[in-house]
Amino acid sequence: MSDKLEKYQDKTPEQVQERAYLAPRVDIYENESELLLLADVPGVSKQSLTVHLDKEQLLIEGHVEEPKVGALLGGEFQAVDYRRSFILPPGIDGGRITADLKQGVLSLRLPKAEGLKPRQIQVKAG
Amino acid sequence: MLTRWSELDRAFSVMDELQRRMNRLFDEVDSGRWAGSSFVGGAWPPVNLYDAGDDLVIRAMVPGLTEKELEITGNQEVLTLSGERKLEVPEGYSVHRQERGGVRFSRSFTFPCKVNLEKTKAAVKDGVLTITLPKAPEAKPRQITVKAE
Repeated sequence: MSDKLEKYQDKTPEQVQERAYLAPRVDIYENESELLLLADVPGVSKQSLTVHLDKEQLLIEGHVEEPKVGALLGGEFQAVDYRRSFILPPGIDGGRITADLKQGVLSLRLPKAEGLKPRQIQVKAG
Repeated sequence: MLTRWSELDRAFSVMDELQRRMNRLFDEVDSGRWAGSSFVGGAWPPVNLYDAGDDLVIRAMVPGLTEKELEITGNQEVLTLSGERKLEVPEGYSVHRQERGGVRFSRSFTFPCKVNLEKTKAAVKDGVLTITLPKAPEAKPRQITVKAE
């Protein structure tokens, strides 16, 4: 059976390559003006990281290129890509989101829309 | 070669387990939790060992850590990698979710062949540490010329 399958795959012109995905671990913090999302994406360079916002859906994707170092003698990790998506709460100003990648940690700053920030309301004496 | 590395690593994995339990103690104080690793084994940082001909190469996933925060020491046949990743809530922020965790670690490795620990080089790029260990001259691959008679 597997022999047949292999033969079949040899003949198919287009090989479908399947990539494994791992959800990166994240921390999410909030202050008055923004949400701050930190994600561990070791092995991802600036060029191979994409942060995509579609309406309220935020998608983080990172591609890991495994360098050809030599023969693997013992291993505890595999080069897998990262992928995770979040639904943003209403009131995030999508146009002002900034992303920064340092030492394999992505920092995403998600500013709150101006109108939703807490405001101090002055009480006037009559 | 492969078996030798894994057997030795298994011996060290006992030490790792102890270390992990200690880490967990610290973490429980620090963050309340340290979820199991998504990598094989579970020791932190996850490490791969490669044979690159003249060198042995270790790669370790150390997101968030710089060269300065990693300590690599060589003692005869044993290489030790240690450090700490601190979990700090940025000032003025409240916490919604914390999965990344802080960890204090120390892992020791021995190698399937003799290496020159004094000439070890280490660099961190994109959160991945690469340690290059030149093999001792007697352990390097040699080309043997076959003479025709």
